[in-house]
Amino acid sequence: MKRYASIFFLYAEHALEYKSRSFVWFLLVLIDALVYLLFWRGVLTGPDASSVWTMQKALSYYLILLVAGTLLQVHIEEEVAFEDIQYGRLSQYLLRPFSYLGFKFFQEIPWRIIQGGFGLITLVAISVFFQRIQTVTDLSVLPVIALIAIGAYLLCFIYKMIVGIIAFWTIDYTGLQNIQLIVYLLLSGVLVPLHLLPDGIREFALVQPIAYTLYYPVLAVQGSLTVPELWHVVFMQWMWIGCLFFTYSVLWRKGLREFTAVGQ
Amino acid sequence: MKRYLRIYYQLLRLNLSALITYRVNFVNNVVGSVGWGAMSLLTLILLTARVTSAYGWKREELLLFNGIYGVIIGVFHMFISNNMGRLSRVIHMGELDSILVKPIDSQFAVSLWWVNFATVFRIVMAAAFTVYIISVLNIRITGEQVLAFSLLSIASLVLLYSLWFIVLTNLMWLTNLSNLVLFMYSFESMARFPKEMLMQLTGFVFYAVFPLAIVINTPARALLGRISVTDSMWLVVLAAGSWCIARSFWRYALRHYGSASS
Repeated sequence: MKRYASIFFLYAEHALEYKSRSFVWFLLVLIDALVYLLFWRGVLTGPDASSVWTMQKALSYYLILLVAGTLLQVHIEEEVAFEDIQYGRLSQYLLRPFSYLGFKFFQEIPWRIIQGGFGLITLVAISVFFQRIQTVTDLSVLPVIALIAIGAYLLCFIYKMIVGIIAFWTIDYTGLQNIQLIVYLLLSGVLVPLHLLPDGIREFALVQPIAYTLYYPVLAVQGSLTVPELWHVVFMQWMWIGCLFFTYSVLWRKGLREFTAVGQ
Repeated sequence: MKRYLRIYYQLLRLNLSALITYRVNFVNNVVGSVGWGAMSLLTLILLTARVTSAYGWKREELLLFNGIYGVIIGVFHMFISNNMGRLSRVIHMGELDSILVKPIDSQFAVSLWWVNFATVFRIVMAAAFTVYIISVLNIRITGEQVLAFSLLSIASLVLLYSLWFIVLTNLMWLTNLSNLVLFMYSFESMARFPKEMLMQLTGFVFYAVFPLAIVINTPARALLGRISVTDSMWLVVLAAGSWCIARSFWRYALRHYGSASS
């Protein structure tokens, strides 16, 4: 564990040195949240107002999503695919006395903390100076929400690792990367809350694993879930973590046999 | 001018050769380009799935607006945005020298070197969608409207290019912020919504977003026959002004280029 702590602190220095880059990443998430909020403002002050959603709920949804998107959404897949597998840098990791998965896990955490920090500051500032954000009021459920946040991070991490190691079998990864990004945006609730999706897509969107990385954690912090529903989210997250971890392990073992260590 | 047209013709040929040589790369680019075009439309379809209007625009009108955005942005991505990505990389890696030593204008070389032919599919898809929605809405489009749309779209492309270029020229000083390119993609996507929505913003943010509020709105309104002379003038003046600023800023920034990577 001490070795992984060293990796964490080493990359914390790196992330702090490049904090301006983190700020730009944060701005990307902020722009999306701002655009969708503005859109809903127009809708919810129009004739459809009461039947769809409320402005208060939309505001809290997108602002909590801003924090969740910066804190819990892992962006490791491009580095794994392009730098490690396609350029052949993976060899260095294989020679080191660390698990590759563990190394990447602790390498990513400092970046999430810094970007999540920007999101949290924005949320608190808006809540204090402009409009109170609707969040969970029952403090007794906070430990369960913390569990959901940890589960969401783990789930997103393993999902992105699987996406990254698919590069073992591809020559040009960019097309796949674009498709997975589009699928992730659609199914995580970043664009539209999943319960507002059209019938048919909604039923599927609510049970697939990506929903448990952002959508359900946001609802949990918003206070929109009952205690049994919160525990159900925890159960589903760990069920998906188990499934995806198994998939990752199989793909990793098979992928290593494909790896030529000379780059593509 | 004639010389640059000749150079650009050669660049188009080289880009076409690259396309034929790296076919898998081309297929990947087509998937990405069409995917993002479809995503832009899908976003609005999903956002409006349970509503009928926003900011006084009906659902179909919002979709039409998105189709027009797809056409103009598609052209921009075909000729310009890949080069902006390249600019951020060459500055980040300290490789701008190899471009500066070429006996041609450096702004031309960094802005127009690559052409992404894969984006043609996105443009065709967006154009087909636009025509479909126009027929659904039963809107009559005259020749003058198409001409006004085409001319104002050129002004929009100049404005978009200048905005991107001004922002990315800052990389001469902020070399490690190569992700500003992705920021610009995200920033420009705000233009796919009606002007009335972006006008909700106030203060500094409003001034930052104002060019985006007119860049697609003005040609789109011209196509629908809802344009005013003031709107057109704003777009043309802003495009010309931004172009001059971008040009001067680039020349100023070149004097500060350290030729070292981040």
